[in-house]
Amino acid sequence: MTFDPTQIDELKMVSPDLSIAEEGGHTFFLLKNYKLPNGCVPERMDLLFCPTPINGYESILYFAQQPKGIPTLNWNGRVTLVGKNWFSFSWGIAQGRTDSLLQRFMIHINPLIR
Amino acid sequence: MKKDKHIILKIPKSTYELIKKDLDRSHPFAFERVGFLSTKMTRADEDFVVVTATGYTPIEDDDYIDDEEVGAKINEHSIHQAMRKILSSQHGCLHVHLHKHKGPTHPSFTDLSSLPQVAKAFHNANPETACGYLILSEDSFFCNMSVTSEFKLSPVSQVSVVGSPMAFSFFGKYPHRKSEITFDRQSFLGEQSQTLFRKVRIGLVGLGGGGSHVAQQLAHLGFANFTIFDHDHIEESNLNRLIGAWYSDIKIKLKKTAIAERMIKKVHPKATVNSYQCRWQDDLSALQKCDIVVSSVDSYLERSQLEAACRAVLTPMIDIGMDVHNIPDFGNAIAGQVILSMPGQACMRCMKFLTEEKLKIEANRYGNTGGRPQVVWPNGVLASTAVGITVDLITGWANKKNAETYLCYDGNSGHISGYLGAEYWPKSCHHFLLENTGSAIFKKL
Repeated sequence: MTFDPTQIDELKMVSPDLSIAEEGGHTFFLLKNYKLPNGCVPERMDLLFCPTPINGYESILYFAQQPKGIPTLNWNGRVTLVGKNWFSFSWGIAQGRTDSLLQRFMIHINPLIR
Repeated sequence: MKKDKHIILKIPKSTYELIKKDLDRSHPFAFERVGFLSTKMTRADEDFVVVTATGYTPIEDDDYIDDEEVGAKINEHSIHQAMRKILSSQHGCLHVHLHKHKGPTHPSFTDLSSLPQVAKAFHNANPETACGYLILSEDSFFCNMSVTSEFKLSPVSQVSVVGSPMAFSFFGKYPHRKSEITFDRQSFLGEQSQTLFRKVRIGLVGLGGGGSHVAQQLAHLGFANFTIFDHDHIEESNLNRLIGAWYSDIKIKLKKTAIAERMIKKVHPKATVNSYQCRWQDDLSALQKCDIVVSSVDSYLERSQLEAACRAVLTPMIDIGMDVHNIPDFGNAIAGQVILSMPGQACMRCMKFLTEEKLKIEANRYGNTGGRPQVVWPNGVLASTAVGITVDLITGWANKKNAETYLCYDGNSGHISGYLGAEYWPKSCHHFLLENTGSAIFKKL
């Protein structure tokens, strides 16, 4: 799947080492060692972002581990993707939204902010 | 005790047929043809490496050098092109050629004096890839490969052609066994069938109503290398269908893996059972070592992940499942499926068995599943069908031209039929491209 280069550049502003891989017809962006919102423990971890419908959600942000020190969330996802285990919380997004990659990514990060 | 090191090379059947067709062609002056097989590596653990073939590149006619003293000689240009490809793609490379005879094959004197240098050149282009040389005969293989960052050619322990049916070549010391009376009645499966059943590594994910049936049947057939996964223990409501379970297991909350292992060993005491009392995701390397996986999991999400993990290492997966539906004005209906997900061919998404719609419904139902209706005999039908597909995949005894890949079970009528929409599936899967097998490579943006 291809994405608007402008949107990719925008996402690279929060993750200069941004990289991409495909599996099972899905495209995954890897944000290595991403700095999570203040209060999260650990402070940094790898994130895997799928901005298109996957596993029953409009988009999902996967975490290398379940962070602590954050508001209570429904961490219902433990999956194996691109050869590694990832964690995710349930966060419904309405169908038909036209967010940019960065906007969609931030929708998934914002729930971690106290 | 020193563990045996295993290097397994898996080649998709379509790629293998491409290689044979290319190498069989005559050349204006060379006696043999040469090609390059791209590879990717998955290191299951330090003693077990799975190398998947991701593509084949024939050598152009003009890149051969006329030399009557050798079967084939290729120029520097072709080697440099291969090295550039290794560098840019991060895939490894095997030099491939054909010895036109049947039976086991070995490198000739010329091969031994020249091919290691070619392999080293490939390795130098990217030491983190699998590089070496592969020699085919009409029906066998020889392969030496370097899979470590320090160049060291080691013989592979197994070459598999992944398709229907599969082809296996095992190397190493396997003492010949006299035919066993136990399996006399199934000798029609082929001369090599029992040998294959002994050597093939079978993975069973889920040991409930379906998986327990599969485990029992495979043990009776003589399968000897099991890797089994289930994180659960038996409860009283499982006893109506969990094959091998005893009433006394309930009180001690015996793990389902322990029940399956006990059952397998009672039938086949010499079988090796690698038991994982956890989700398969918690020991991915164990799954990666399997040659074939039978999936008896109970959600679309689990199937989706398991299929992806199997496709990454070119492992065929056979999935079974059933449900009891209550249909207004009709009553209860039992429906089930047996699906063969063969790498390179239509996946469960191509077949529309897995869809985002189904995953969405399942995600919305999360935590509200309750005890779904389940009963023993449909599980038995589905499991037996899956075992039959497994056996045919390994032995090819049924001489089927195209293995049925999606069978639908109507538990009310007892009929099993091929999925009607099969003709609309793509010939090759566009969700899991063969070039993307192996450990995921993230490309920097």
